[in-house]
Amino acid sequence: MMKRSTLGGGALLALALLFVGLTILFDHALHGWRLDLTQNRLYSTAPGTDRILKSLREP
Amino acid sequence: MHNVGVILRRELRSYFATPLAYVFILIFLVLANSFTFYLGGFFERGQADLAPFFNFHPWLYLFLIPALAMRLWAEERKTGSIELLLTQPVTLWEAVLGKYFAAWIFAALALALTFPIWLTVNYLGSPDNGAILAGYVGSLLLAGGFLAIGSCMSALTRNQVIAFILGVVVCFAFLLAGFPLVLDVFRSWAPQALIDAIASLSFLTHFESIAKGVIDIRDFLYFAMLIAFFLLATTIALDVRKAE
Repeated sequence: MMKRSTLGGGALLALALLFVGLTILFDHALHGWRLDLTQNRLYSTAPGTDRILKSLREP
Repeated sequence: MHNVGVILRRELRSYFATPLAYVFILIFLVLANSFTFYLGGFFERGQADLAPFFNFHPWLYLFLIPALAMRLWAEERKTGSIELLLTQPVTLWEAVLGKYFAAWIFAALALALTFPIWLTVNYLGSPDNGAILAGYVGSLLLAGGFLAIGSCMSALTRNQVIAFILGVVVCFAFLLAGFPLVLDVFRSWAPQALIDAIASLSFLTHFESIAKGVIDIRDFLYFAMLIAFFLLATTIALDVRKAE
């Protein structure tokens, strides 16, 4: 029978690692899911820009 | 879920039964506004936005929120009322959530009372109200993150002063992770991936990116996961040290 505090400590450590791991993973994986609330859409590209960017061919 | 509501209402009412609520709200409003006008140079900048207002929120919360959170569990332990609470037909988890959300709603109330600064900036010019809304959302999430850390630190000890100091130190560490002060130490030798990883754990990085007017799902998920993690940690700490 493991001690309750050991069990709790282990669970905490696992959770902390999960938190750090998920934060770093999401930072890389979830690009572009954003809501631009500024009035002039300062941080978004215009539809025209998107079309130009799509038509660019990668070297 | 019904029990969460009951504890929430009881806690929220207890804030206003003592001078705590009024002192906290008054100090928060006075400091937030004087920082904006004096340190932030609200008039001198000549720009109609609330950047000088939101820029000081992390530093204001750094010592005000742990002061709010320190009593959550440490006080219950000190007075022994934790025994009474946990022998009621509520689970530990419901008690943690109820107390936490009551504190968060209280912090949201203090934040909502800063609305005169929004009226002021709209009277003086035509600011970007979308960016201001994002700033308020970011500030609320930031307060939630600080409160979750404070709740966890409060569950670790029966002494409120220790809970306060631990809360400030842990919150400070989470703030500083995105600051050049820390990042420059790593910048000279560590790979960029590690620097990005450290910066991605910082309150400041996520708060600033929301406060400029863009709500990114990554910033939102970061705060949600941080709050969930520290509330789980609170529950574990209480469960392990229930008898002490």
